[in-house]
Amino acid sequence: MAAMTTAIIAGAGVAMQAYSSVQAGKAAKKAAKLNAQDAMINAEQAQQQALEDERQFRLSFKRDQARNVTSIAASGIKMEGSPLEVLQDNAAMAEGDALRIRQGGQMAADAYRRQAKIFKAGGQASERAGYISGASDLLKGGVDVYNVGQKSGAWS
Amino acid sequence: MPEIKQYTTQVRAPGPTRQMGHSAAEHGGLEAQAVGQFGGAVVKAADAVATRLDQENTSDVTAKLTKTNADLAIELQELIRTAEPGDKKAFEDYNKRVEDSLSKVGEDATTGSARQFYTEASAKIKAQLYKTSMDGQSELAGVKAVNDYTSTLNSLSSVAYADPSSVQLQRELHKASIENLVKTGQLPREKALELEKHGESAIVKSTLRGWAGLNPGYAKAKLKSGEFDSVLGAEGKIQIESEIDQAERAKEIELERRERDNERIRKEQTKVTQNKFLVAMQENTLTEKDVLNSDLDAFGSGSKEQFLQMLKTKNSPAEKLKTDSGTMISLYNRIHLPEGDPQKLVDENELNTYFGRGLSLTDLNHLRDEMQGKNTAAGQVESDMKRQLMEVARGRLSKSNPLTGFKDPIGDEQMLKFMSYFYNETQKRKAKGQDITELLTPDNPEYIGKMIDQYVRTPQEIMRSMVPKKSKIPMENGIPVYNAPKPAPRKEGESAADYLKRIKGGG
Repeated sequence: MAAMTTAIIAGAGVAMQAYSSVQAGKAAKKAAKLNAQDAMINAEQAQQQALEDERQFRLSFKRDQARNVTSIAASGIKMEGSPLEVLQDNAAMAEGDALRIRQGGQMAADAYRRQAKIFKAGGQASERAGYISGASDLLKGGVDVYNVGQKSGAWS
Repeated sequence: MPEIKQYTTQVRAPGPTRQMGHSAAEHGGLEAQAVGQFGGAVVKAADAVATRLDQENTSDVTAKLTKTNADLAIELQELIRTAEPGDKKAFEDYNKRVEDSLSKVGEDATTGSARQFYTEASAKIKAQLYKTSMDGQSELAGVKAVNDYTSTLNSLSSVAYADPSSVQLQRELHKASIENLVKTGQLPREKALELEKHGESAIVKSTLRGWAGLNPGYAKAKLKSGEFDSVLGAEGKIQIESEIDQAERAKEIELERRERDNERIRKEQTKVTQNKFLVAMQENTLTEKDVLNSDLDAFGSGSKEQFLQMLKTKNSPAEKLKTDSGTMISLYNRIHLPEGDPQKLVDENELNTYFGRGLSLTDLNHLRDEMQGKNTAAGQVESDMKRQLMEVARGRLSKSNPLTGFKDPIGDEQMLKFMSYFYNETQKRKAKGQDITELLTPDNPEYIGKMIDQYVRTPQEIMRSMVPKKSKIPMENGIPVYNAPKPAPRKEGESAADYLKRIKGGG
């Protein structure tokens, strides 16, 4: 009787170990899911930030360009030749900067999205690992329970 | 116109705000881990308990197994010691008991190590016990072979002794029996040679003893012929020679013993005849022809002549055939005299001579019974008790009264009456198959000694007997005058002995 009780207790211990592994996997998955959600939000925010930066930049350049046109006009210089080329060159460079700001935002957003994906995949992997670990615990625990039963004579 | 500075924003739009710092711990990961650790601890605890149970059970099984082993080993030694040689069943039964006993211990081995220990140890124990058992069986088989051989040799020796002429055949059979033992692997060759020599010697010795029993002279001649010298050896020859001499002497002694036995048997038969004749004489059925045709001796004590004389006496007047109390008591006392006393009566036939001379036929038979009854141990005890009773009776009846100093003049007659009463009572009891020692034991209510008083006379009765009713003694003035008779004169030239004989005989 004592031998059988010992084996049953050992079995209960093994069950707890398996349960804990599964539960740990599930908890890791939940955490990863939340992290992924945060990353997606960050991606959106990074993209929004870049768009705002681009808009501010364009607005600022437009003012600078207008001031330059005014200055040229006030000096009596004709809007031809070098001054015009400078303005055109400025406009081209500013466009490039604006595009780089947008691209930078896009890149940051992409990075967050990738991170979200990694979190998601990690969560799923953790969950699967929990199940596998639980199964492993059960298997190993089964051997332990068998040994305990064998030692205590529960199986005879 | 004043240059108005246009405002440029100093603040960037907000960027990513989330930390992405969620962990499993927020979702019960640590608890799960703790549960897992607890589960591990539970398994360890269960393992510890199981280990303890295992140790206890192993220890218990070890103790039981070693005790069982000890018991079985002792039982096996006892079996080897007491089993009949060649008794296979005893060992089969033992092996079964080994299986049963060990299996019983095995039933108690429930834990892993205990079972493992039991399996290994019981296998070793079984192996050892079976080995010892087999050794024991082999030893007993050897003992059986020796026993069988000894039995064979005894038989052959017996036959050689009973029929010494068959010695050659017995020797051949002996050789064949040894050869069989060798062939069946029960006897090694070198041992066989030793046994053969020993057996040959035993058979030859039996043969010569057999001859010595039948004809010691022939046995001696055979021994001297040298036919058996190689088998017997010098010492054996001397031994047998002295045995033959001994056999010769034994034969002579045996002859004497047989003669004595025959004489004893003849005497006993004679005694039976004499007793039969006395009873027949008492019943008046004995004839002279019976006496003459009997196995009694012609002359001497208890002979035909004596019985014919007694038959003649029996025809005498009744008065002559009565018992005289003095004679009876005197003969009774002579019977009970101590061993070695020259007066002691040792031959009952001597009593026959008193028939018609103070001894009746009935009392003669009583006294013969008295003598013959003393011949056994029980009879001796009975006789001693009777003697004691008669001593008491004699003291009371026929001796002087210690107070008055008077002796009853018919005391001996009274004694005789008591003896007759005693013999009648004992005969009645014997006829019923009862033990007469009860009559002779003073503590017993039936003690016959109580009857003595009835035969004791009072002092008055004694006095009356002492004074004659009508005295023939001449009286003068009331005083008796004794005129003693004058004895006959002695003849001239008569010797003193002849004179006394003549006057006593009434001449």
